[in-house]
Amino acid sequence: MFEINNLTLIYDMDKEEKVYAINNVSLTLPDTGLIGIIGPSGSGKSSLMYCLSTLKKPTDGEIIYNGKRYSSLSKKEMESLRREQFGFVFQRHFLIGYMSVLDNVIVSSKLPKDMAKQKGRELLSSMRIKTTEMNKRPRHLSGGQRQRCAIARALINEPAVIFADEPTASLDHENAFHVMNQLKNYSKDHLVLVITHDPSILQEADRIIELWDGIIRSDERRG
Amino acid sequence: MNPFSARYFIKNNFSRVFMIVLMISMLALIYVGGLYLTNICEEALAIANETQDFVSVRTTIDDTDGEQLGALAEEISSDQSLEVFGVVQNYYRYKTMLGFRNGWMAYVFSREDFIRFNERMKLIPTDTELPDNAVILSEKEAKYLRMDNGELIQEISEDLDVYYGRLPLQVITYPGKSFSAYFVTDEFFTPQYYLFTWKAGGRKDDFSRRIEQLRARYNKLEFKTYDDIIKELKDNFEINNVIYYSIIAIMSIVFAITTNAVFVGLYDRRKQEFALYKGIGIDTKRIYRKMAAEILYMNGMGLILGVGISLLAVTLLNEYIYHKDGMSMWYYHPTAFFAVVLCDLAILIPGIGLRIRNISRDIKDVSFL
Repeated sequence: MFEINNLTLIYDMDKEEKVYAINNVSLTLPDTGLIGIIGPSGSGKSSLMYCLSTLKKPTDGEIIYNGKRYSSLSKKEMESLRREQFGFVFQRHFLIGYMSVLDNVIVSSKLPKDMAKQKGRELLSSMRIKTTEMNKRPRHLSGGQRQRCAIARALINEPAVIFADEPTASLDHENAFHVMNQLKNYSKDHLVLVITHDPSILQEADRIIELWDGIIRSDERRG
Repeated sequence: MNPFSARYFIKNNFSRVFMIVLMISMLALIYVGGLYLTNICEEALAIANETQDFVSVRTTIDDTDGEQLGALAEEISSDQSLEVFGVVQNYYRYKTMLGFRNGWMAYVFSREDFIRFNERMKLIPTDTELPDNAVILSEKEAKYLRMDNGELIQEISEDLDVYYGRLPLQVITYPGKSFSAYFVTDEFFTPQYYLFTWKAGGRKDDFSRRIEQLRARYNKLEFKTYDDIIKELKDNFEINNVIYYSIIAIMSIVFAITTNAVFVGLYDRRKQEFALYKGIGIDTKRIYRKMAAEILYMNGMGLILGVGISLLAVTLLNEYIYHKDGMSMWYYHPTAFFAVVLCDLAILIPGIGLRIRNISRDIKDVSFL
């Protein structure tokens, strides 16, 4: 699915001392599976996710997604790719405060309204959000509940790839385990990339890539 | 309701949105101000409109001994296509919304001439028994003068100068839409003005051509057609428009700055929301359209509220202040409407333009998500 060749991302390009967020990384990622990208803070995990999801333009190298070279895509095509193919779970939930929890989940849905609502409810239920909480504003939910809503939002369009940046950071152990189970199930037919500094949540991962100072330190395939 | 829609945002942020709506509704001040300032000109135009089919002629300083006026009188009195009235003038006043009293001339007719004049104008019922000395007032003017139909005027006042005519004068009112007055007297007078129009069955075009011929021939006389009066009035009131539009220009700047400050508060706090939309792949143009639709929605609501405030203000002003003096503030005037449009554009263009610029800057790099 993804072919990454000699990917480099440099911050502060115009300064004398350049910061290599990603340094000459080459990878191939499959169509399905749960892949963990781990590493300490500043190792380049999030930068890699931003490059793969078209949110950041690499300084050098090439990313090919299903045969499409990112370097040849227009802004509109990149937006379309994110909308049609990718789902995002960011480090913070970024739920929109004035929308109900359910509306937050369906805001980017491509389905007709009623179907979107139905699907949103199902996803929220699967994330252990009670029906009575679905019409509440995000501020009335706990941090963990909000993060689970953000995961439901990422799944609403059944994207081919889920980019999850520290998806369990604000969850307790039980909820973190539940969310990872959901993502594991989803990864049977789709690709799920989980970025984390906590290897304990990646027990079910099919592959773990460890980054260190923007370089792949290890690439462990399981099962 | 689609959560991405502008309506959804408005509905779920009403307390924040209300501030903008309230500010935009203040355009009602511009509108009512426009109605107020243009009223003085409109009242004068309404008086001129009442006798718009007539042309008046008077002598000037160049017409030594009134030679041309005499010759004109002779010529037009034998012209079968013209209806001619020899008149003099009294003066009356009416109150303007700006507070001062405006003086205007009132034609004084002989009894017989007024009966002919009334047949043409249909001011009062033609079977009205006309006294020898009377003042025929529009209901507006009668209201200002605090006079009723049938009342007798025993003495002159600052508001009604009876230079020609005998007291007492009987008041006869008619339902006119302007502050107008006509006098009827049995006193003999030498006409100083000739008022004429085309006879029933004649054509206005022929009449206009005839006037131009007369104007060319009697070049020492002052001819005043309806168009001449309108032009004169508009020239006189031009300064009002200059003052009004200068105020509008200043108000536009004030509105643009204040509403923009509120827009900044409303939209800059949504930086993450717009970045999220971009992050999850919503078309940037759709994000701009959503923002513009929200502003247009708020603007529409503000204008609707503004219309409501304007209607209420005009109704209350008329009811409690103006009607008792015969005045009436109109509900619509193109100048006031145009000024509101200008002011509203001064809100909308920078309001939407600056938001697009800021959002575009804020979501250029969404890797902070």
